[in-house]
Amino acid sequence: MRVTILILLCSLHAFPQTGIDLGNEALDDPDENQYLEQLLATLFQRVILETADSSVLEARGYSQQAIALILNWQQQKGRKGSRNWLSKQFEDKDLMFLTQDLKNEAESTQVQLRQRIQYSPGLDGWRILNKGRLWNQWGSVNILTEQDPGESQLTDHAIVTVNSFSVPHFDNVILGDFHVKWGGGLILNQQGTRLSLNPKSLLHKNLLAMRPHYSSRETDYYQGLATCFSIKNIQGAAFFSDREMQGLGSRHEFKEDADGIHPAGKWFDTNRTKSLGLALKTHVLKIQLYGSALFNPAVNPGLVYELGFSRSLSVSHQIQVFTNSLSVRAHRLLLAWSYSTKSLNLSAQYRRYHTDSLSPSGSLFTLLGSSALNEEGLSVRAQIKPTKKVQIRYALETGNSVELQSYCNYRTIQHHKVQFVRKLNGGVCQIDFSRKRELALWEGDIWNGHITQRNISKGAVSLLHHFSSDLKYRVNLKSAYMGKASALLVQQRIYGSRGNWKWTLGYVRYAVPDYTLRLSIYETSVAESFSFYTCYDDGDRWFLYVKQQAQEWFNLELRLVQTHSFDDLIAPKQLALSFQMSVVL
Amino acid sequence: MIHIKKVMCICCVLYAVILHISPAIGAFEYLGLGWPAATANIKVLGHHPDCYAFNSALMAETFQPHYSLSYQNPFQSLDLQAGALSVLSSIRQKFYIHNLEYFGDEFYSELKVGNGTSWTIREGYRLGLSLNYHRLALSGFSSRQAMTLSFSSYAHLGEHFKLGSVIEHVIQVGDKLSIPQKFHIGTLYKVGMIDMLLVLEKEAALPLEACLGLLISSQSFWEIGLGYRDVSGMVSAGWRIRTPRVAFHYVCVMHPQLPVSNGFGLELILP
Repeated sequence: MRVTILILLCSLHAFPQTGIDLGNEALDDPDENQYLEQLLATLFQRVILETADSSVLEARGYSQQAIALILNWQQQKGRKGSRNWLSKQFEDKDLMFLTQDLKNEAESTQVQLRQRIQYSPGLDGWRILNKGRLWNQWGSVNILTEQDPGESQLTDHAIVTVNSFSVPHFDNVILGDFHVKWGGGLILNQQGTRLSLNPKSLLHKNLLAMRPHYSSRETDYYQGLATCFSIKNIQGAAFFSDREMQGLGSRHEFKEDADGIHPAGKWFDTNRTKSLGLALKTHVLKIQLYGSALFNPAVNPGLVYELGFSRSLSVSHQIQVFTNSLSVRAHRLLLAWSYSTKSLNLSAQYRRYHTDSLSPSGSLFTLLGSSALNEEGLSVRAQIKPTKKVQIRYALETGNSVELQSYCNYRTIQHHKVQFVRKLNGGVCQIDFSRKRELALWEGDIWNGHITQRNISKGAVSLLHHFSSDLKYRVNLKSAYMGKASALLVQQRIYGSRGNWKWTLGYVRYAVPDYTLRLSIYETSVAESFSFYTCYDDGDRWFLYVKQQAQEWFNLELRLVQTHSFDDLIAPKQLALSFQMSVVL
Repeated sequence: MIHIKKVMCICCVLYAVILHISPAIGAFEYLGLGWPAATANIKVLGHHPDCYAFNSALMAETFQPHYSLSYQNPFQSLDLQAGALSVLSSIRQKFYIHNLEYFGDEFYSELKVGNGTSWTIREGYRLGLSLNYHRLALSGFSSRQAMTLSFSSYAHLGEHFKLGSVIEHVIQVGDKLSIPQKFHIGTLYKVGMIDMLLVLEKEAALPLEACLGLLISSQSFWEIGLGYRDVSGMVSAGWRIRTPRVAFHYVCVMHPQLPVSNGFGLELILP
């Protein structure tokens, strides 16, 4: 932490003092910044795409085809969206180089600072958030501190990450807190497992992804050193992590309490985790081969690995296979297929996770929202665009546990979801319907009575209308049914902007009597509603958001929420607020 | 016997200060010191060397070297003394603030030495950094020391509206003396002769405290300050007279549960 702060301070020192005119005499004497720039330029060989010639690009590692494209692109300066156009032409290693070189083109140092102070009755106190991000062509520094009610220090939740794309021989180097998202996620926990209707979500891309950790709401991150590298035709990523986590332990897993909510008075276990990871990817003929391994001496088995391949059968067909094996009996398998054309997208994924051992650190993601470790299931996605203004999507999730580990996880699930989206003149209309069946695997068996059987149906209609470029209105009507229980949610928002001001006024009427229905009816954002904690039971909520862009580089945001619970007689009305100051330079 | 009584009395007062005056203070944060004490001890925004020592981002490039001396008689009739010296200096076109604060008596003493500077990120926005040394001594015990680092920011959003924030003691070296971290964020709204200050302060796990300050100024000769802190119920008032080279102030801090504190200050502005 201290070392990073010192690096940050050094970077800050690179700012010239504005408002002070340097005379010629001062310019004759090179200042510290100039020496620093020269030193960095000598240490790091930065490629400036706008001016690089073929020899520089060749030395960087671009293919001949990519070099020709870049040289052609240099001659088309001013073309709208040319960088995006260039990015779309590249693949694999060339794309990776291009992404880094584009990031490195930021000539001046840029700063983002954000300070937020937030009160929620649910938290019974104030949350204070400080975020800072500083980057230039050499790299970036990210710092986040957060204090929740009951915590003793502003830095009780602190994140520090230093990241550079400019270290010689390495494509990316991250020091501090980072996320790893490799392969099919069979040995690593993966973020974003929420049911998405997009067919492309079932395929795994960017198999060596690592990125700095920069949010207090994200869990399962590592702390240490991570790097991406390239050796001839092989791309690799490696990391070493030594991290202390606080959370709640159970028989099967340790669940970290790092979601940004740290209520006072809660007693946590501490778990120190050391991990070592290596992943490699290469192309042989038209097949992309992938392998990764993770070593964690604190768990059994200490070494886990994942193998995979991906192949494009034609322009529109692609298959992916990932597998790992912890022992002869315990294995995991993931198969994915996709078919993609302009008007039709189809994809399917079969998953089978079978293990009787404890999962290693960053345990694999679980199927269908349960926490079972042993499951198998099928996911299907379809997307049709019959016209430019109409889109129809279908999703199926089905699966069941394959080995008993706890009563609550011993179940089978079928979830169908259909979505219809129609673009209107000045608006969008969307209709959703879903039905989820959750059953005991063998109904009436010895555990009958322990297992809940659920049939949840959900319907939603959403309408967005643009009255003008500065004024728009959105209404969502959502309902969910589970047996005799039903839930209703009406969300309305009106958005406006004028000059430097933006505002939103929202109203929610909710009648959500059951926790399961709450999860179902909010769905897209279970944790939050209007950036505050989700309301349920019976009541309504008013929301006001105001943003003032006081300067081009400075804005203030205020959120006010009043929740009125019809069932809560002690504190029927509760006010929550959030004030945020942002500087973007 | 008299010494024992004095020690007991002082200990009681210190205990009350730490627990009751304001949740946003503890050791090294005596509220009655310096001109900012008149406006509820709001230092995150203002135009005084004591404010610059706290939020070094407030320093602009147009300052002249400035010396400020303050003396306070905390909690009348006790032997406690409080004093501060702030020096605003310029070295190679960069401004620095040096600050020395003392609070205590012959048995108990707190000493704080601070050094701060600022960087202009762009016109109207500055970041500040200050390095602080803290020393706490109690007769009969070995003294305890710590070094801390604080970060601050200041945004000048036009003639009427200013914003400031400080993250105090965010990094600490030396764990024998625990200095609480604090977060301050506030705004200054200027209407004619009046500066209105609203600041939110949060220390450790204590409740958030809102501080209100009002500064009425003739722009050239006199200033009157008023302040109120909501959690402790503390009220403060003071006046300041200044000439181009010299300034003098008086501050009175009243707390519902503690004796009144009176303070004086003298400032020298050098060409």
